[in-house]
Amino acid sequence: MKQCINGAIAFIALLTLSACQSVSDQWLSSGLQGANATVAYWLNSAEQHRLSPEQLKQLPGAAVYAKLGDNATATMVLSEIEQTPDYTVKRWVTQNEALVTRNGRVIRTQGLTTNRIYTAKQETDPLGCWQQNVNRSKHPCPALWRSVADVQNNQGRVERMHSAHQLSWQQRTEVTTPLRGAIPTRVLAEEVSLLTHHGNTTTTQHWVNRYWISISDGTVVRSEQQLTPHADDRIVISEARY
Amino acid sequence: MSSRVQWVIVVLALSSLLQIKHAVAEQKTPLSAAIVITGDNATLQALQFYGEPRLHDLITRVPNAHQMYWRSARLCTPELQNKLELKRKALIVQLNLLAGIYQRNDKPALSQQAQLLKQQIQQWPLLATIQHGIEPDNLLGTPRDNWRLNPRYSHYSLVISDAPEGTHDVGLSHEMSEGERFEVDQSGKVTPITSENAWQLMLQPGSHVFTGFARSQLPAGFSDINHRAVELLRYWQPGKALKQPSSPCQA
Repeated sequence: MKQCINGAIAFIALLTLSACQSVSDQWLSSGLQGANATVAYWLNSAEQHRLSPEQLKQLPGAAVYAKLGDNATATMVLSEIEQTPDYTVKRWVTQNEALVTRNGRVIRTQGLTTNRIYTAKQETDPLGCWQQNVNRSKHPCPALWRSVADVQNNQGRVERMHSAHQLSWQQRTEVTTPLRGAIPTRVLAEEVSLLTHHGNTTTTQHWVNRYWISISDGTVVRSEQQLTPHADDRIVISEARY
Repeated sequence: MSSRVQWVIVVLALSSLLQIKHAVAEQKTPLSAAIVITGDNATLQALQFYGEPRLHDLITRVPNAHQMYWRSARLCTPELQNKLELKRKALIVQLNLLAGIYQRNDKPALSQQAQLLKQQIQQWPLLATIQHGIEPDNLLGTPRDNWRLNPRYSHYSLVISDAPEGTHDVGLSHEMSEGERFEVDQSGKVTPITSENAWQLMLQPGSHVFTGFARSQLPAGFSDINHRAVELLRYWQPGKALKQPSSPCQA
């Protein structure tokens, strides 16, 4: 009888323990469910600055180098990708920052001092068309794109920007990448005119974005883009691991 | 073995069984959710989740997520919506009382303003939300933001609206009342508008500018009525105009 009771106590203790385990798991879960191997690897890595080619080889997935203004270069890993015949959206992350690109254009940022939180009229953005026609001397792609974007400053306030983008081909050149070597590209220049309304006054700013587009597959290997009206928010993104 | 020990064993056994039953029920009962996109490309998507879904699991189901205006995102549950409606009713009662006091004190213009504000608040398209806006791009890197959808709520509605156009004036007429003014932006942040900052404050797209009563006009016991109205205004559903119904929160 005593043995039986002892057995019962042990069984009950086991049941209690297993029930507690299922409860504590809810709280211990780090939220990494569904993350792909790259992100999981990356979030557990101590080193998140510019990785060497040897270190890049250790990464399980794609990565880019990103340098914002005078800040140090960061290596960002691909966390999500959405591909359709018309566009490719990629989400690049570090532990604290994120960039979302559509056909290589930065359409949203997170975790920076000033963030682009919304880009409108993406469906009429001709950048993807220019990429697909990188090898043609004549192409059907519109040269002008008008868009609207919202930018959020470090106090959380949002400003709306109206922009006009004029695209044109420039020279052909090679871009050196850490793992794939020199890649022949064609440079697409984008002259941006930005209108910002401050009460009754309107200011205009101009700058040039550049995209180095691979001649072999039309991907953007490197780009220089200004994300907000502030010249400090100019970002250089280049292929680290394809 | 005393009978006391036997009782302890029985109680432990029962509590263990209840815990197991609860855990199993949580696993098997699906969590109901909906994604509601309002505006030009309105869609409604009903979802069910098993296991322990987190916010990221819900937002990955949003179609064309990269085109969404995530600052407008709201996460509503029926329970929170009921609480919000109770808050609205309480404010309506207060405004009725205020109108009566103004009437008795021979201030018919102010009484009428209280009535107007009451009628307007009854028509505000309010939508309760767990948080104002979502930053969707690095949820996996920020577990604190990627919270677990709690099965205690019967249903979750993720409501996202189009990018806003301009700002909207609500409340009393600013010219008539010279009352307190506040900007309530889409992130739910409230900024008082004063004569000192009004000239430099650039209103944000989608903000509501609320004009309430002047403080000097408010009788004792009603000094917080503007703030209570502004607290409700934080839950104005983005993309909805006055008198429009808010999106449903229920399954």
